[in-house]
Amino acid sequence: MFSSEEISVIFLTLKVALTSTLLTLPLAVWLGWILARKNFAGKFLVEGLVNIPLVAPPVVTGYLLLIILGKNGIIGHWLYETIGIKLAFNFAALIIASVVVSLPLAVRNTKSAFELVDPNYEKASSSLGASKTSTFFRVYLPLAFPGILSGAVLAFARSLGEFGATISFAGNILGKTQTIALNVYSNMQIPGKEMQVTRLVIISVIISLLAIIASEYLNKKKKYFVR
Amino acid sequence: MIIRFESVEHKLENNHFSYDFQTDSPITGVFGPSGAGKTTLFNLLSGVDTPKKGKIKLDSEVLVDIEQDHIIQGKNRNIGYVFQENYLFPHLSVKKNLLYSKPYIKSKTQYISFEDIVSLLDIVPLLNKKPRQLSGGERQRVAIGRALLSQPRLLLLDEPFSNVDCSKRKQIISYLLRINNHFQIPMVIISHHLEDILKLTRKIVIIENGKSTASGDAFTIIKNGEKPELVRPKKFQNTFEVTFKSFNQTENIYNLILNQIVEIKVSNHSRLLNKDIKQGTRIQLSLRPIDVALSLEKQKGTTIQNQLKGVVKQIIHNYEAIFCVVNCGFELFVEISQGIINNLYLHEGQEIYCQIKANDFDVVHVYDEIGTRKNKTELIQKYSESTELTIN
Repeated sequence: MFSSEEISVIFLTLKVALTSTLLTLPLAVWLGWILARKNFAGKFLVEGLVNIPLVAPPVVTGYLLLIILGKNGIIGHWLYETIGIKLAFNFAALIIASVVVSLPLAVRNTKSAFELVDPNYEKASSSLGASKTSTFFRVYLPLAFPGILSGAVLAFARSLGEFGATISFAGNILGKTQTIALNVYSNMQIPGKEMQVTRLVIISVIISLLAIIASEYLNKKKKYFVR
Repeated sequence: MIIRFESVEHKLENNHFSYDFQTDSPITGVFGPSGAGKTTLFNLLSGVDTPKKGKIKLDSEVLVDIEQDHIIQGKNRNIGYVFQENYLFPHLSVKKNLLYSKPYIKSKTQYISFEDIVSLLDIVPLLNKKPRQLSGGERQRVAIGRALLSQPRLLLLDEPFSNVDCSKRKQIISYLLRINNHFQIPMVIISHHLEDILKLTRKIVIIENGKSTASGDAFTIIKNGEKPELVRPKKFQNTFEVTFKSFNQTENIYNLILNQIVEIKVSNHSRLLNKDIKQGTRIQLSLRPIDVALSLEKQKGTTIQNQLKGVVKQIIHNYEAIFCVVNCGFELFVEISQGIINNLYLHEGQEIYCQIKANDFDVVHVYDEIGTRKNKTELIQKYSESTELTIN
């Protein structure tokens, strides 16, 4: 039913989405936590920077990644010269682009999940002898868990559909950086590839739909859980 | 335990608070109108908040001394705090809520066992439920149990009766007396209902407009004219601790002894008493001032079972009513009217009979077997002998 090219594209896409979700999650929990519960100088700046990829055109995000992390970029050049690491146009670039574009969605969810937890539970926890760290892991994290999970599902879905930042920063190399979105885009322009495009589009729609349903379910559970 | 607030001052937004008092009672009631600063007092004592000035001490230990820049963190104060809203963790079962503090307890200080708490507070049937499945009274009991299992040296309860109906209120009062007696743990209880506080203790601290304005024995505070307005119709209770003497089966009446000399007869409409109670068992009673009638002579052919001879000690007028304090071997507040004063020519020093029906006494608590007094060392020893929790 699927050609070996299609299978490798689907496999790569899922691998990228899963890896980037796993990397996004701890970062989103940390950022969501500090944005929801801490007051510090430059909070607005952090929130703004995290959310840029949500509003800026993905191609712009990809271009910014390229001039920062590319071989001749501000940080990328240094990395290449000192430890020989190349971050653009490879699997690492796919992951980085994916994390950057899905982070704001995950952070927004984790932040609102932490905001929903009544801070008075912290008073109760402290009166029972728990430290702040202990309270975070035993009270805040479990109560915010459905919200965090829903953020992760959204990050996963966003990463599946990522196109603009990926094509600018990771390129469109078949077998190396070509995901479902890039494959569909490339084959759309080749006559006779309509069936392959249709199959991948159907797969894409099914995965996205499942992710959104899961996210909505977890969001409902989040409110129920906190009460 | 002596709790001391020395010239403590605090500010929250535009509200100013100042507290200066000390109390050493096994149970202290903090009384005052809503918004007077009672919860702020608890927050400062438990370490939820830090005052701007002053010193807070528990016995000889200084918890806060702002001048010396000495502040012990809340989690290290070992004070149990039952919040007005409970704050039971909604994601944990009752059992997990109760055992929440377990990882933070040093074994040397452990004297309250899980088994004792679930049996004293009748929590066993609730253990696997989630907090949202519990009624107000059940939640309150679990919150009290959870705070006690953190092995505190002092227990603070903020409005423990606010979210429970009248019958459950009586039940919580009885549970609190049972716990106080069994574990010998000092308690401070906030309420804006003096009648509830008085059923638990006569030692009170009064908070008004952010200030502690009086502290000590409630009856003394009223009698010495500091706060005569505390005694109000329907808002005041006479309370006494009595001991069980005998049960009269033909009359279905319990004979109880007060202050080792005064015998009173009480019926069992609250069903807390039973004929198997051992002689000498301590019982907490309350009586409303309106339920006492006065007469100049002992009545014959009456349905009233208690006719106690006494002497009028004081007549208190306040803006709501007139009360008379009668000494009948113990002090009794009696609600009267100007008409009674005129008709009986009531005056201080006058001999009088207090007429009380047996079923006007309210049995607040019977100190039963399960609530037998134990000292803390004995409890720690008992705890260390029972190696692990048997209920898992």
